[in-house]
Amino acid sequence: MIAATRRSPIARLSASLGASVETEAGWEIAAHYGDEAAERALLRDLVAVADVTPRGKIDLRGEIDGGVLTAAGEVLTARMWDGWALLLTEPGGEEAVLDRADAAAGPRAMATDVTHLFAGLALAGPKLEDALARLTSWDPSTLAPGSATGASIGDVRAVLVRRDIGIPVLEAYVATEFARYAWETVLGVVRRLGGGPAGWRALRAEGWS
Amino acid sequence: MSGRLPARPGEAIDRGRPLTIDFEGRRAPAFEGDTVGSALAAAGVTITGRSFKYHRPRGLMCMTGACPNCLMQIDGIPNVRSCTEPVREGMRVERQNAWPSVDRDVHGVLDSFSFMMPPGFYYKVFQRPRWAWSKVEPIIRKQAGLGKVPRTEDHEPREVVNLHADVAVIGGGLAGLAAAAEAAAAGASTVLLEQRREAGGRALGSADDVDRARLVAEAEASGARILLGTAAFGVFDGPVVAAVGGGGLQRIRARHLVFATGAVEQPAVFPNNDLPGVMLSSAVELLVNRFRVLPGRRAVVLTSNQDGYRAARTLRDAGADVFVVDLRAGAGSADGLRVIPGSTILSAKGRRGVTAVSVGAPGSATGQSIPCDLVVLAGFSAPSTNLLAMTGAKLGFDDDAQAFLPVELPPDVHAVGAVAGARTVQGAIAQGRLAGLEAAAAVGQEPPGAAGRMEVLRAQAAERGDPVVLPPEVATGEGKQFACLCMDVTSKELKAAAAEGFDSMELLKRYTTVSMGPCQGKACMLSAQRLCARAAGSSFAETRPTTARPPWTPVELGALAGWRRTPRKETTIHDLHADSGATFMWAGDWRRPHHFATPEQEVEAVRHRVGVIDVSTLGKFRVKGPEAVELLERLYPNRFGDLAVGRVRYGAMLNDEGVILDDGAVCRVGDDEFFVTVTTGNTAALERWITWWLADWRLDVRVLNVTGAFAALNLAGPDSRKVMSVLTDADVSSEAVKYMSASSFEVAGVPSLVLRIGFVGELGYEIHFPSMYGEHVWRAVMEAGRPFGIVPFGLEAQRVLRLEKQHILVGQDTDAESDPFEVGLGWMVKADKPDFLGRRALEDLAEAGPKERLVGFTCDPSWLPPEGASVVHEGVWVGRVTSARRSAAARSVVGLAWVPAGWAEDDTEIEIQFGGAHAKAKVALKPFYDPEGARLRS
Ligand code: FES
Repeated sequence: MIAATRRSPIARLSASLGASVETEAGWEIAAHYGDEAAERALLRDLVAVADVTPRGKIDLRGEIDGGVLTAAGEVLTARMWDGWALLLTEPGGEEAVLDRADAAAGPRAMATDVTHLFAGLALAGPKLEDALARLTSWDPSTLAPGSATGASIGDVRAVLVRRDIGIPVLEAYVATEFARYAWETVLGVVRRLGGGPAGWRALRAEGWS
Repeated sequence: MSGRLPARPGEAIDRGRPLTIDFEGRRAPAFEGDTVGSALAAAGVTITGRSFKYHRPRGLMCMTGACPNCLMQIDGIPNVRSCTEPVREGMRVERQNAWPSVDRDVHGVLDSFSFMMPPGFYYKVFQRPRWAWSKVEPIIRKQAGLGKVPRTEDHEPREVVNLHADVAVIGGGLAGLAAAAEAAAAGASTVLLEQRREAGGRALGSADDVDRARLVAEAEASGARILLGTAAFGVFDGPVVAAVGGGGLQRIRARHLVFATGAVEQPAVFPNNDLPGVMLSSAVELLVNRFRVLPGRRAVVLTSNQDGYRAARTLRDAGADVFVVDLRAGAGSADGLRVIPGSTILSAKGRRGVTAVSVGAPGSATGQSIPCDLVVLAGFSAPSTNLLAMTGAKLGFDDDAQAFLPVELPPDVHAVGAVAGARTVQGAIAQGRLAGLEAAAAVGQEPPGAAGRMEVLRAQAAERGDPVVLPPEVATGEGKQFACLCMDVTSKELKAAAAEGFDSMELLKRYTTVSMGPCQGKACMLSAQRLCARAAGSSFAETRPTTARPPWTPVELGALAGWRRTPRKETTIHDLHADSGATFMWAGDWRRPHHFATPEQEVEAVRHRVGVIDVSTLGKFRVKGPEAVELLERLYPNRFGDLAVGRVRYGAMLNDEGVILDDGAVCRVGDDEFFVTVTTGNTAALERWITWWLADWRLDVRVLNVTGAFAALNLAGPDSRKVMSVLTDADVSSEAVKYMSASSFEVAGVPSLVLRIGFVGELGYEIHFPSMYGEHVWRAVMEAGRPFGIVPFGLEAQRVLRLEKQHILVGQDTDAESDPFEVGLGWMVKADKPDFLGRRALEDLAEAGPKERLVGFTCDPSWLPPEGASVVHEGVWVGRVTSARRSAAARSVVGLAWVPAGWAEDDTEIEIQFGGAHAKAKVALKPFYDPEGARLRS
């Protein structure tokens, strides 16, 4: 039987754009689209979008105290409100984080592996705000780097995480079933602003993790 | 009028960049910086279109986009305001609403038949004989409307852009520029919207450009975001200002709104006031000073203030022969101009353009005739309060301004400049600066010394200017006097309508269509209000304007639509389905395979071999917590406390009226944890429903919608166990994986939750697994099933299969009143358990007994009754068909239908009707296929 690999719902769309696939932690990852340097230039000078669905994701809800978050370890924490946080890891990191979070969570909290529940899009570059203006009525200036919120992107609900890695980055997590629609919509806007898709290599080279 | 005046500093055109436009097949020269209207004026075109109803010739009147006179078809797009549309090389320009041409429009004859088209004529004429209106109406409808809507979809979709700011300034005249400059300089994020392609408002046409240039530079330097060519057309809750510009729709959300929307110059009402050559002073000044076109050689200027004298000087300095007619009796000669004091225009003459006016004292029957080719109406303005009024601002009549002005503003809303009654440049600028500073301070951006400056500005802002003197509402001469140029409504028609009882502005508007045309009241509200007051015997002050509603400026529907976005849901296996040639259908928001081969082949495979369907779309919830059982006991009428770990129970959720909301499987996967599936289309609503009750009951439970996290396949058919054996090392015998059990094991190497349930009525496994393994597992299942003749099946086959088992689809077979007793699910109602949703209602329903029942039926396969077909008895409607399909297994049509409860007996004959077709059918209470469920349990 073929080895079990995880594939983002966006994989076929990425492939049609020339994505080169690499395997990481059991995931097929869009490493680049043929020209990593050009993708980095888009990230630095304009705007680009990357499929970051393979990120590990743990949903924590209920009574979340600092202890659970500390126990979860080195993860990117999207704290939506007191009773809900999303922990984001490198691909494949979710199992360990789930174990730790589960062990630390009291009976009034629930930790769930939601890696497959959300597809992730990372929008990055100096024209990020222009892109968002075309995708959402939510005011991006209300979200400080390092914080998270819920808003719609291209008319679908998303968990939004603002990051600061030298270039502005917004990670948007949408329900898996909307992944392809969201990718097409976001990429359409990005293209109209002169940008395009970027792979994981370019993103990581710019300091994203 | 043709040709260009000599160059002057500050002109809008770039004479070094000539270009050519295509004007009705002819080449017309223009310069970069021209508008279509200015280029045509320079080319000597005086008739810019024909009027809406009477096809009268019309010419440029306002040059600011505030009237209907210059609407043209440009590059295929109808109703473009040519006076503000910038020229582009090679653009195609055509005038509209005429046949065969605007210059010789045969429909112009309608002007002589205006007596047949009084206000509300469509209720009055052609009503006898009765057939007449049906013949005439299509002709009128064909005749009505302006321009031709392009039949092809050859335009890029428009962008919809959302902007956010501390302060949004609407209107880029001097007051608006001052407000934006102050707010932005103080540190508030500021957006300024200006409908024209240059900021400056009325000052744009001024020969003296000093104030404008200084304020534009100041606003640009302040960091304010200035959006030119962006016209606000509505203000909505939020507040959200909607505007068109920048190639699409702009939605601006701001904490403070500053309205600097100015005032619109108004035409005066006198006979033939619509002739080409009758212009507003704003148009004249723009043409002369900005575009260097002299619109007439012999001009009569009607005015009562300095605006008129400025326009007169502009014309005189450009070489025209000018008379000033001043309404004020005391007006004397000024600046060497010839002034006729205490007079007005009694009428204008001409056919294709004005050739003379009659001037005399207001109300006099005759006057002095002055030959002219240009009439300038100067200084009669109506403040543009519409957008402001959309915020909830209250307006009141101001005697000095002879206009309705804002008297009470909502918090965070400011009004500055002419819209607030300022009639001097310095007063308007001071108001703007003050509002900018106040708005910035309100958002926490108060620069040092602001308080002192605001004090000074407050004093300056109080300066209003001279009281306004308006021309008479109506003149005495012969000829049509237009109050509304858009809809060709005359003063006489308004008077007649008022006499018929339509004597308020709101009624007049609806009856006569005054102010309902493309200008939306910009060029007619003042006249209409005054004429209404006169006809109704009241005062102008008592005659309020009509309710302001969006859109204040015309908006292309394409701008509202934006890029077409239809959010769609797809499973992670979608691509493989497409590869297999699936035909997709919409199922709610989902794109799902309707069929792969033919539904009949797919049904046959499931009944005799094995089939697989992608059911990832099922709603799925993780329910966990010490009180998880309690939550389910309250949500469902079923009992769940006794459900063992690893077992599945079918349940239906009810609302508090006992109506079925949904059904699905509830699987106990741990002592305090359940996996719940619900119908595809109900997931979001049920998530809200459960969350709402959970918050109310305050139970110690967490619920997470995990729909997308798990893909799901239903592997079904007599050979499904054999296929499962290939896919897993786990024991899948009927003893190990019992009917209605939930087991966790790997399928194709992927950890899965396998439910032994069967919606389609065969031995089957519903395999739930992490969704991003979707393609992997699907491929593995197809591979493992190949030796057994597996086929993928779609929704249509599933519908046939479930119908053969009489399994209901909530929403399809049930409606907003269906309770469990009526649909045969009374067995799941456990009346002896503590309270649950719908309990009280069910007790009543149980006592009364059902009035209707959902029953199965069979009928001859020669006719397939459509869903919704009627069940009739002696010609009377008694029920309806909810589902019906041809069944190979039953060798007949099988279906479900609502019938009177008394008919719910096997073999009761019913009659089904739809359109002209009908069929006899028989009630069948048991499933049509495998009624005992032996195959399902095997
Ligand atoms: S002349 Fe163009 S809108 Fe009035």
